[in-house]
Amino acid sequence: MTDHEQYRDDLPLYAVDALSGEESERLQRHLAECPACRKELSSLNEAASQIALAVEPAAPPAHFREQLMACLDEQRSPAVVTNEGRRRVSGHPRERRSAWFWVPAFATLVFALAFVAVWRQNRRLDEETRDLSARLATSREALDRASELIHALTAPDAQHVSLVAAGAKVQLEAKAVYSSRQRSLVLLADHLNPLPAHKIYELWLLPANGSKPLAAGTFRPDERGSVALVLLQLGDGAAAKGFAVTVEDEPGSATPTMPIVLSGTT
Amino acid sequence: MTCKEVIRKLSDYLDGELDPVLAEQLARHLEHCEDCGLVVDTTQKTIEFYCNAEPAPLPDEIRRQVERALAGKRGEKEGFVRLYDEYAGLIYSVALRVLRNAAAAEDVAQEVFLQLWRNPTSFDPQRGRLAPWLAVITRHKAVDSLRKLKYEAGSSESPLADRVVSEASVHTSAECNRARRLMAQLPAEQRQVLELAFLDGLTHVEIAAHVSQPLGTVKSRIRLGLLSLRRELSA
Amino acid sequence: MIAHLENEKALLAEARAGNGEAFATLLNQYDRRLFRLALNITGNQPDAADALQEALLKAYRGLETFRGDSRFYTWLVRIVVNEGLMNLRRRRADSWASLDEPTEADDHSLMPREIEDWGDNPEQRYSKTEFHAILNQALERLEPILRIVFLLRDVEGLSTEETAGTLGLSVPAVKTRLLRARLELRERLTKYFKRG
Repeated sequence: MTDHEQYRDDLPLYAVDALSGEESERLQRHLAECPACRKELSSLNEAASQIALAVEPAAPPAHFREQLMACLDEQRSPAVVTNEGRRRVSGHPRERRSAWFWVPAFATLVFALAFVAVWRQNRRLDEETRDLSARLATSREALDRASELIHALTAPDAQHVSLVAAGAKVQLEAKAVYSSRQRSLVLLADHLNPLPAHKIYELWLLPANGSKPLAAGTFRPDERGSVALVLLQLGDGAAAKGFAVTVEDEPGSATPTMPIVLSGTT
Repeated sequence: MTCKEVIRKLSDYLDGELDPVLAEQLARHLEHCEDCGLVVDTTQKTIEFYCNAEPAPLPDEIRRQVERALAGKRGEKEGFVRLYDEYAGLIYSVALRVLRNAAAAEDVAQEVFLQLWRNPTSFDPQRGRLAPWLAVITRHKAVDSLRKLKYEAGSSESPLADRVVSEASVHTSAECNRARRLMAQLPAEQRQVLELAFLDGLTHVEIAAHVSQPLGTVKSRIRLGLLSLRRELSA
Repeated sequence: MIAHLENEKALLAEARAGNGEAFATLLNQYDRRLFRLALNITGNQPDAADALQEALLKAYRGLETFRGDSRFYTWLVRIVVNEGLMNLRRRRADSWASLDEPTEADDHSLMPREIEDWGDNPEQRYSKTEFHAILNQALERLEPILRIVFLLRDVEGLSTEETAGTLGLSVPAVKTRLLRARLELRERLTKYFKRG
């Protein structure tokens, strides 16, 4: 049996989390380089989710809802404007020309819509969001957001920070542009590793005053490993001594989990 | 009263907050001091000008910006509440099944919801439907928690307690019903190993020990079981 | 400002129950004044818009914490003032101190220098726009803390105690600053409104 067949055979085990830590890591490294296995895994993950969906139903205790609602943080994540992956002008792969067409309202609309869609059994969720995204792509709001982005990139106090990967993956290019006055942060990165199942990248701002890292949003790279993330109203405009990216379990974490995969200092 | 004193007391006088005795003294001073009279009069007018000035209407641009932000925030909260109402049962159920402990399950469920609140955009609709995603991220957090608890308790034995009794009238979705049907269709030994792996956090080696079967058999059951599920799903 | 108190109570109850529309309606009565306040504190429109937005979001999020022991409007004003001040401090990191401590003044400097009769309706000599511009300019030239005390007391109509509470000042401190603010404004306006 070839190595690859072995890996492929182990995919179902990986999907139900039955591999040991070491076996898991080996398979993950393979997955980073094998689109065929990634695809296979994706359908297996879907099947695995059925196991969780099939658990015996139980209702949370009466006090749970109230307790949760009372807990909803004042510390909200910043308004995230993100275009995952960038459109490149053909023939000029180095050029960073992008069409920014997500808006913060869109992100929250997706959120709200996702749950409205639950009530509408006839329409599928992805149809809804595709419609909406097409409509918003040309909306005036999108243009407003584009100008905010430009503003964020060209702020007079903007600090440009290059981020490097711990394991010296030479190809990786990442840059953060931060303005404490505007409270804006732009993250651009290429050649990011694809993520294991149900993991997500999370960005952290490291305050200069030494207080704990500030969660600045989560993101996934597109098929080409690129991401462009724009954050507005980030924190309270604290001076930053650096930025870091970690890998967290979805949907994110309140504190960074080692190891740090990308970091840079101002 | 001297002019200096009048000026010092001017504000209180105009607000009607001056001690009546002093107020009278001040009034008498004004009768013969033209300058102070003018100061009082013009200060009063000053206050009135500002007080009466009607605020300009909110510029459209700004009104839109604020409305958008508020609508977004409301949408978020309303969306979140809807999310809760629809999926709290599922999330709690999964956590409870994995942890077999109500308090621990509550903690995990709360953590999941708080993370969703903080990072609402992390769900990508392109990647499938919401319920399976929620079930899986909950499972993941719960298994992590389970492993931590086991580690702290120092025991390597999995506390596979009796099945938890659920409430009779718990609403359950069509999706979950279908998942239950699919699982029920599997041969018992396949179902068992899938649950031991996915919901009880055991590795294939641990499962083999637990069910007293050879490793190869266990692996094979996992594969067959999962592939069956996949086949039935796409049927 | 007309306060439809009964209506407001009902709307407030609705808003706290999660009715976003009710909250929006509540705000409608007040948003101009709140924006003006933010504008007068921060000094420019974009910052005022940001401060207002943040303030209203905070108000929405924190609705449960409003206990009804003050007027709803006063509560909103407080939040807007705080956001405005934070915005101002962010931009003028160097002058943190000057926001809280006005330069020391002795009685002598309080004494008015320009004492003129303004006649009965000095504002009628100017167009509405000019008149507002004159008022705004005089206000802008005040030191921030004096300006804010004046805004809260004389423009927004908060009581001395409410103002003190909002700004973390003592009641006597509010009174002295108010006096100075009023006298300085009067002084600046006099050259435009004096007769002849």
